[in-house]
Amino acid sequence: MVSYRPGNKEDFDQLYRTTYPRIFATLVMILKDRPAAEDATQEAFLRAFRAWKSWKEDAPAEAWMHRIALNVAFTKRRREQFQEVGMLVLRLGRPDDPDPTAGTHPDLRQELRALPPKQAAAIVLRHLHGYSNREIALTLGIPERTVASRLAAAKARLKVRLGDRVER
Amino acid sequence: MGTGGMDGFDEWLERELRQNASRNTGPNPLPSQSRYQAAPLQGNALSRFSFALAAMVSTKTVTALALSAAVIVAAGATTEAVITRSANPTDWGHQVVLQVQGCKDALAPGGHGVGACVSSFASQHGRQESKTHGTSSPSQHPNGGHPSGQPAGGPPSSHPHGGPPSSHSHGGPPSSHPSPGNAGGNSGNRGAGSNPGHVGKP
Repeated sequence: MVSYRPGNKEDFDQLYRTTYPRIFATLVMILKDRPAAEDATQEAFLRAFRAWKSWKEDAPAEAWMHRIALNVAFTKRRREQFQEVGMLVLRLGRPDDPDPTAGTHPDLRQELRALPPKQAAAIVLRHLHGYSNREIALTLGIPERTVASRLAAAKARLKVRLGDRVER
Repeated sequence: MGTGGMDGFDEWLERELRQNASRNTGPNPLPSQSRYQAAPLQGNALSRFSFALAAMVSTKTVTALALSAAVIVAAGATTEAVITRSANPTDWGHQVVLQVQGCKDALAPGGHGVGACVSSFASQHGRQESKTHGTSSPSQHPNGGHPSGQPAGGPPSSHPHGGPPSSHSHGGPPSSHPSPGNAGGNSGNRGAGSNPGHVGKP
């Protein structure tokens, strides 16, 4: 396990190198596209760096980093939703533009983005990064029971929406 | 970070998420390319100093300082103009310099101090001013008359050198000195805008 010293610049650089791919992978599942995820990831590291001196060594740095990043992503999602409503009003009656980021398996990402961001975050932390419920609870600052209920609600919805694809 | 009790859906979910994530990962950017490199660490002494400096040199402070300086200069100029009866700043100190020089010249060899001589000049000057004001109408007085109700030509009761009340500076600097406490109202709002909180050890 890597040990970091709060307030140390070199250690923060190390934290950045170590956790950037995972933080970015989380945010790209929650936000609408790669540029948005990259922007949010950079913003999260900026905020974390400013608070780096106050990070407590007994807390896992990656979980702390994830928490900051998810807070940035939730704020960004709220803004995105406002913008989407505005765009929807503007193009009423016209067909949707195709999603340029859609790959061969766009459905899961689309469904994840359709979930409430906190449910999506729980799914990504649990099933992409392998966090336990306890670790997710610590990361998000919520009780474990809330994590369990969020995961259950999210999976129930995903099963309904993606069930036929899972069967294939 | 184990996951227990997985069913088929969970396995499919993990597989899909990992495939999706692997498609979306690019080259890991270097710390030198990151946005945080341009930001100071919170609590750094140097950054605190620079923030304080920036706050002090804020627009509000500069405006307040400039206004105060202008008021002080204007008040001094008004006082000098009233005393020397000249709007030309070069005349203001000239009379006093001449008098002091005269007093020095008149000083006996081995004598000390020109204070009494200069004081005498000031008293004479005060009496002259009082007479002038006594003969002029109250409306010509810079203050529009003597607020104390004394006769205009009366003795200048409380002035130490007998100078006229009009020689007092009535246009001193106002009480609107820039307060250091107001300098840079937004100086305390830097750093991590929202406390990201801490998480315990899992």
